[in-house]
Amino acid sequence: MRIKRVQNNDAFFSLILVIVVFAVIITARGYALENPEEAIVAAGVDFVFTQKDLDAYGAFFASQKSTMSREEIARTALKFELLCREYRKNSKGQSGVESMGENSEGVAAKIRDGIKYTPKVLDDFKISNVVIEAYYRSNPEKFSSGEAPDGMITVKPLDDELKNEIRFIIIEAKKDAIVKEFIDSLISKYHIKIFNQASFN
Amino acid sequence: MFLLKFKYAFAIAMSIGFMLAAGCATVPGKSLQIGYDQQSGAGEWPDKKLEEQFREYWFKRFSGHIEDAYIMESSSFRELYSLTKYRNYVQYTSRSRLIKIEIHDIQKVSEYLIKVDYDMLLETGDVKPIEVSAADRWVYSDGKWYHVIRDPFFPT
Repeated sequence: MRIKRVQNNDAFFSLILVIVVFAVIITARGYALENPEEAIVAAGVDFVFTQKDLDAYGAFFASQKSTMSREEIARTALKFELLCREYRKNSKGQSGVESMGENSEGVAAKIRDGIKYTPKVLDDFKISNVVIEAYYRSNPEKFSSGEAPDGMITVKPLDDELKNEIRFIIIEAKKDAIVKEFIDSLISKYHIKIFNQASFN
Repeated sequence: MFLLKFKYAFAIAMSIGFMLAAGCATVPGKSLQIGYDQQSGAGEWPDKKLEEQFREYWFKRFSGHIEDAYIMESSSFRELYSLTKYRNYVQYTSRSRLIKIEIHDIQKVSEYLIKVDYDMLLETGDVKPIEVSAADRWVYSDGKWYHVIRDPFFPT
């Protein structure tokens, strides 16, 4: 009986959450019709990213003499918005720059905070022992301890230190893909919907 | 007497049926011709299963079964590179037809890594087939042999 009530409560809160998200989006979109710079580019649970925010990133990258296309800027902006948000959520009071507004300084602060969160994303990425062992066995030259009389390469033992070294090599080689995967997981977790898809293609 | 004859006829027919079915069943890569360079004394496969994997892998690469070939790459390669990137890399090989592989050498590089030197005879649509020399690496990992790609396109 109690379990059923708990389940009902969960369903009720989920329903409320969905209604709140839609209400925020609908209100904000209505507002955006009157204020084009406030048009929503992407939105989700407790997350709204407007055209004004995107323009601030555009201005920031232009000031850095970046050659990124409009689409690259949009993808990069969303990436840093989400990384920064995770960083600030997980390190309350440590950031020092909670809200700088949609200006270049604010964007620079968000990018800095986003970058600070990246090592955690990479640290949390799991690599199986099978993959580590396969890398170790496929690249004996990298872990050579000498050559046996029969010409075969002898390798250092695969201890914890070497496993960490291999893990680091693999993470370094695929760090962009890991961050992209993490961003995709956040988009899904916070039910983020991209309204202006053309900006991101 | 008639029933006994019928029994024999039935048994023979069943046997022929089974033999035909076995003969027609396709073993992946079985049709790929692999020769051994007699002059250089090609060396021996350290494991019969590796020879089967080698044959199957190259059959799959050249018959357009790219996803199956990808699964035969080492797990560390698959961790680093997606199927999409792999497909972009290997799909040009599907345009040629692999006629034959001649193995020149099989060497143990380390305890778990084998290097195979070979020539491939490829039909590219030109008048004469072309011969391409190559070297493969195979790693024994997680109880199986896996292909190891060494190419600047896939830095490790």
